[in-house]
Amino acid sequence: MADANLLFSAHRDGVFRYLSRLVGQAEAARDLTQDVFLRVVRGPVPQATDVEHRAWVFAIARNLALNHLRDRRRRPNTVELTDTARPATQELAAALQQALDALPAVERDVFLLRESAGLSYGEIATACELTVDAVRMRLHRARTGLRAALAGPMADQWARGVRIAQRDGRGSHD
Amino acid sequence: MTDPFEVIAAFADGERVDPDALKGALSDPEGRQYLVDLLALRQVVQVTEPEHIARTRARFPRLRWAAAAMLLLALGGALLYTSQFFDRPPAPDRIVKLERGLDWRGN
Repeated sequence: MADANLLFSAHRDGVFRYLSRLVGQAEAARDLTQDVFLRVVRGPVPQATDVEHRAWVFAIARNLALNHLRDRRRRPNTVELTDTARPATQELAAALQQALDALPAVERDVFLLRESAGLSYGEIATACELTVDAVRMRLHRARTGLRAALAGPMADQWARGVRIAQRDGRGSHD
Repeated sequence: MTDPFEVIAAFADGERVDPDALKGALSDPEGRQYLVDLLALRQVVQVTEPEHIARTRARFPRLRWAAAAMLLLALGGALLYTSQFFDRPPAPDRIVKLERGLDWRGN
């Protein structure tokens, strides 16, 4: 059986990154990350492989985030404060957030679990209760939508050069 | 997996793909364009990470250092506390005086 502390140290960065993108507020993302690991500590950690544990942790994160977003929509007077990106990329960040918001919820989830949290297709399938084929299709649709919405910013990125860079899902990236 | 774009995406995502399918997908200029777009999109996501995410990542090592420093302080304090007992005997809490000529065995 995996230790809850080990799960926390292995996945806190990925969970926080995913939740930050999804809810768009630092404080809410911090609270939700804490809630995720409180649930992990309180409930029995299922006997499973590391990969299955990661999917399980992200499934909890996703459910809590969806509840949070649903509650937030019910409070029309709440003022939303979106955290700013680093100044040089503020416009780009705003364009990306707008494009993400325009995606269907499942496509946005699948995309963020892949690009922000670094989950594999199998892990995303478990976390979102989809088949791997459905994950592949949703991810492709999400990317196609974002590609169309972000044609300009992506052209700037081409000018700076691109390289293969992947999230490993454990908090380290460049 | 039949869509050539999905093959390219799976390859860029580190998933296992059929090499022939990948070769076929990349032989199409649109497929190559899709691969470049996909990588550019990935970098757009990474460079636009909100500031607090970067701050949080940087804070974790500091927390580890703080925990290590606290552990060292606790160990040092415990050593200092216990060393008092090795340097000198504990103070007596009851003193019994024996006088010459008295039968100290009682009665």
